Parts: sequence; C-alpha cells; structure tokens
Amino acid sequence: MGAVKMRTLRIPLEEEETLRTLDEVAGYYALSWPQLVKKFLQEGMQTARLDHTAELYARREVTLERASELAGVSIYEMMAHLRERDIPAQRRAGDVRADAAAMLIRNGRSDIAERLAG
Amino acid sequence: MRKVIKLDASGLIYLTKAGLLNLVEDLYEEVIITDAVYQEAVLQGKAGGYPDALVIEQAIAESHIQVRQPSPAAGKRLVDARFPERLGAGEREIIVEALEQKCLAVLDDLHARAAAVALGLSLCGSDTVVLEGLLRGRIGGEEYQTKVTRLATVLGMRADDLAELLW
Repeated sequence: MGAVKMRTLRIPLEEEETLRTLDEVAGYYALSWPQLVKKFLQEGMQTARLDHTAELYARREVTLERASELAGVSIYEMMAHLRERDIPAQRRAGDVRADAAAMLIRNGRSDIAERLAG
Repeated sequence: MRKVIKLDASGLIYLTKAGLLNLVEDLYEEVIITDAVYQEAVLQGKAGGYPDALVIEQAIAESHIQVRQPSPAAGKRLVDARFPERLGAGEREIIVEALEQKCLAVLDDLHARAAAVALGLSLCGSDTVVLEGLLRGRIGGEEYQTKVTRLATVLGMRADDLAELLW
C-alpha cells in the first residue's frame, strides 16, 4: 500500500459564537476540535459531492447509475436525493414516442406506429 | 423467437418501486440482469436497507429474473465499445449483453440510450413495458392509466412528458 498523503489545514476561528458552539458540540460527540472539524469536513464533502453529481444528472451529462458511482452512493440513495431536490427524469416525450413506435412495430402493429408518427 | 428483455439497475428499481415486475415477467419469457446490475440493485440496496432490493432478490430466487455474467464475447465488446464516462457499469454491461444476444434492453437515461442507438441496439423505456402490456391485452385501459401514472411518478417524469403516455 502506498504512503498516505497528509495535509494540514489551518483555519483561523475568531467568532465567539463559533468557538462556543465548537466546544459544546465537541463535548457532545466526545471529540477533540480537530476530530470534530474533520468529521464536519467529511460530512460536508459528501453532501457537496452528492449535490454536484445530482446537478450533472439534472444537466443530462451523466446517467443516474453513473451519478451514483461518482457520488459514491447506491442508486437508491441517488434516486432519493434527486427526488428530494425535485430533479426530473431525463426521459422526455420524444423518447416515449420513439420507444412506443418501435414497440408497436415489434408487435406487428406498424399501422398504429405510423399513425403515432403522423 | 423467445422474448427476452435486459434491464439496467435504474429501470429494474423503478419498475419494482412501481409494482410492475409481475407485468414484465408476464410479457417476457426471459428477464435478465447482469452481475453489475445485481450488485447495484440487490447488494447495495440491501446494505442500505431498501425494501425494493428484497423484492428483486425474491424475484431472482424464484427464477423470474436471471442474473448472467457477461459472456467472454460481451466482455471483449465492453472493452472495444469505449463507452463514454457518462454511463454506469451496469448500463455498459446491459448494452453489450443485449447486443450479443440481439435482444431488447430497457434504458431510460439519455447517454445510455445514445450509446445503445449508436451501437444498433433495440431499446425501450420502462414506461414502454406498460404500454406493451396494454397492447398485448395483459392490462386494461384503466389499469394502464393507473400503472403508467404510478411509474411516471416514481421516475420523476415531468407533467408534459407524462401527458404523452395518457389520453
């Protein structure tokens, strides 16, 4: 296994309110400040990653399966996230029509398919 | 010729959520998914506690859905096709497997459909299955409207696009 790359961030925190809240929450989770900030960072990053890939799906740049792979979540989770954000399916009326016509032809109903196209 | 259909993970999950797996099984003699789709729809779903994953697992256990590993020829095609990064692993497998078997694939999303069309695959959307159920007399008009509306809701289809499926 390769060596793990580490970077240290220095985040100046001045607001009394923020410092007090950090103390309270660190106490609640029984974590040190660095551990707590690392936890927040990881959770925030995951949310941002999910939002970003949902946006890629909304712009029709990736499929739902690919969006879930990029976000590192299951398809179920990505479906739920898209629903929460009210992002519509990529399937459009044109796809519906084209697929219906092809299905009619497969089933020997070219007559209806032609009417659909017309 | 046997009527065979291949489902990608999102199509499989959407059809399951809408309670339409029975209709798919009724319309097609063979309903097939690949290993990657099984991973996504069953294993990951179960790990996340999603009940639809159990429904799919049950359908597999009862042999209503078959899980197939991509054949060596499909594996080669998977490499040769050079799919764009916009597709998921399950969709890629379903496309090459359906090409190998010359059967129908259910694909709803834009880039999976575009890749399938470019490769000459016969495809349809999840909603097409419901329409086929109506055409082949498996469901009546009223049932069709109910089922297709439920599916469109699960899919998150826009009202304008849903209107295309109703009359």
